[in-house]
Amino acid sequence: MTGGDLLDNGDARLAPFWHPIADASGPLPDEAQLFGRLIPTAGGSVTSHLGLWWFALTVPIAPLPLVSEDGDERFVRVPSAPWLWRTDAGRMADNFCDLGHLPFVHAASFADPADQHIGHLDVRRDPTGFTVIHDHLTKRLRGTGTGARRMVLRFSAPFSVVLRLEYPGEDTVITTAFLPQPVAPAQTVLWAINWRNDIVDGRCTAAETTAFQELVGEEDRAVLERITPSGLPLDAMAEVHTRADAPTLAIRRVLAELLGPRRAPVV
Amino acid sequence: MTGLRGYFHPVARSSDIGSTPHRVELFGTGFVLWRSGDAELSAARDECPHRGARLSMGWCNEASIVCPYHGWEYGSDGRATRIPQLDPDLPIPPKARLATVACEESFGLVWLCVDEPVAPMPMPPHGRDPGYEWRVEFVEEWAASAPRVVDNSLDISHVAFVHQGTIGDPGQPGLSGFTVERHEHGLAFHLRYVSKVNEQQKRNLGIDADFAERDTLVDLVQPLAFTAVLRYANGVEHILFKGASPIDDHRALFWQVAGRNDAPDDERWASIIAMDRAVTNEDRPILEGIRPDIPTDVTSEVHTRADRMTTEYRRLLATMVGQTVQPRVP
Repeated sequence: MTGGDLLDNGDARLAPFWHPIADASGPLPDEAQLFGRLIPTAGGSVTSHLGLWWFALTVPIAPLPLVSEDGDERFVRVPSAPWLWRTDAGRMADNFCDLGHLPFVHAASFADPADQHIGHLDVRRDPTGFTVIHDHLTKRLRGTGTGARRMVLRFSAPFSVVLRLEYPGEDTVITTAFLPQPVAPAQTVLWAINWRNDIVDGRCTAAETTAFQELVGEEDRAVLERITPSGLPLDAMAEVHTRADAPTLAIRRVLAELLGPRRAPVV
Repeated sequence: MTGLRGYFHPVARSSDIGSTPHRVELFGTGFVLWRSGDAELSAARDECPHRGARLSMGWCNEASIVCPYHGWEYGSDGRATRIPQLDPDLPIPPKARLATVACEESFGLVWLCVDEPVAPMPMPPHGRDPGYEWRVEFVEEWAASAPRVVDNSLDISHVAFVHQGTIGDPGQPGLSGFTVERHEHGLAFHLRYVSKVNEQQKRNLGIDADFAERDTLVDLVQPLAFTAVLRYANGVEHILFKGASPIDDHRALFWQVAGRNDAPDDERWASIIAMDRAVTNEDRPILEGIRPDIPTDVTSEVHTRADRMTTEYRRLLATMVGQTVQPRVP
């Protein structure tokens, strides 16, 4: 899996996109750590969204990711601390859109190791992303055994992934946003934010939410940080795909269409 | 080091490879080794063709290796045998196949060849002779390039100085006359020199004298592996089969196998191995302090007649990397 068009965090094609750069509870930083360098924020587009500062080096060509639960009083927003992973943002986003790895990588945390088969996936494309719904089994949030879970997955270019996780048997909805910041090649800061409707009524706490997020993230990080090269192949021919890979194949297609041919790195 | 990729290189002890996948590195690339249910050894790039995960983080399922990321299973021939996400009646894509590489087990070691082999597995003298017994002495990573490690082993004149604590005596630095002969994959030379015999060596070799002449026949059987037959007047032959596998341009897996014709018992083998370890440990700080690139332009260093083996080694490496070979030193 070498050669072809690999998208890494130093790629100049990432300039016209929004990237999260800091916690918006603090002041806007003077510089954004992106693409392997510090970029003065005064020179680009800046906005606050989902509790984070976002920056685009040039005029953004894709919208910010939307989370309908943000601002909904039934949901409590729980941001995790920023987390540096030794991989590229594309690979990270790819992982969060990947459905087939759940029973293998996350068997110890939330997944049902027996629920390996993936049925037909209807990936609904738009110019800057896609949405897909995946019904599957996971461990129950409370108690033992497994139960049904519906995942509504939204990918927004370049790297944002928002998962709405509905647990119909437990009257619980958890929406998780994975917002990668491409700080340098093979270095990505993950901004993970959860919105839960089971904190207001005391069934869960913010501390439990962040602890669980860290546990699940560690399971992914152990795999991702050992994949080399850590850039994301945009050439669909560079890898083997199956029907179950429709979402991750869609990432490659969205990005390939938006980014065009490879250009010189920013750094 | 492209020219070296067509040779077999040791990457692990055979005993290190059990029922779990094992990662090794060669030429800066990761490879995974695993055994199928019948203990057959397989090797492939440590990278799943699906999403690039390291197979060495996975597990074995009878004859298959299982990717830890999505559970894809591959047989010993590299072909995918199961994709759990797919309907069982759907065909497995033919592209779902590992990049396997040639692997062999020989002399207690696992050997890999990452390109089409250009030479057979190397074999030491008396390698199949029942009168000789063989032991793996060590397999360990050094922070030195593989050609530097081999270059040092071909260098006889350093013995009197670097190995003063074991077999060297700076008062006897001389070497007999010798010639260096090139062959298809390496070079050979035959010489004699006097080595110190400490009390441990006296027990190991059955020699009473404080010094002994070593008749030494060295054959660089391939660019990073050589054999040295050390013959003593009492008839004992201590054969070293050793070399260095390039983990990358800066690190080598230094390996050494010893053969003996005097049937040492386990206690004496332990002493023999300890002695050889002590000798090589004297080389280590020197080699790990030398810059890893070995000059293949023989005009860039100073050479003497005593350096003919190592000078010729540079010429050999130059041909491996496709350089124009400089004229011989007169």
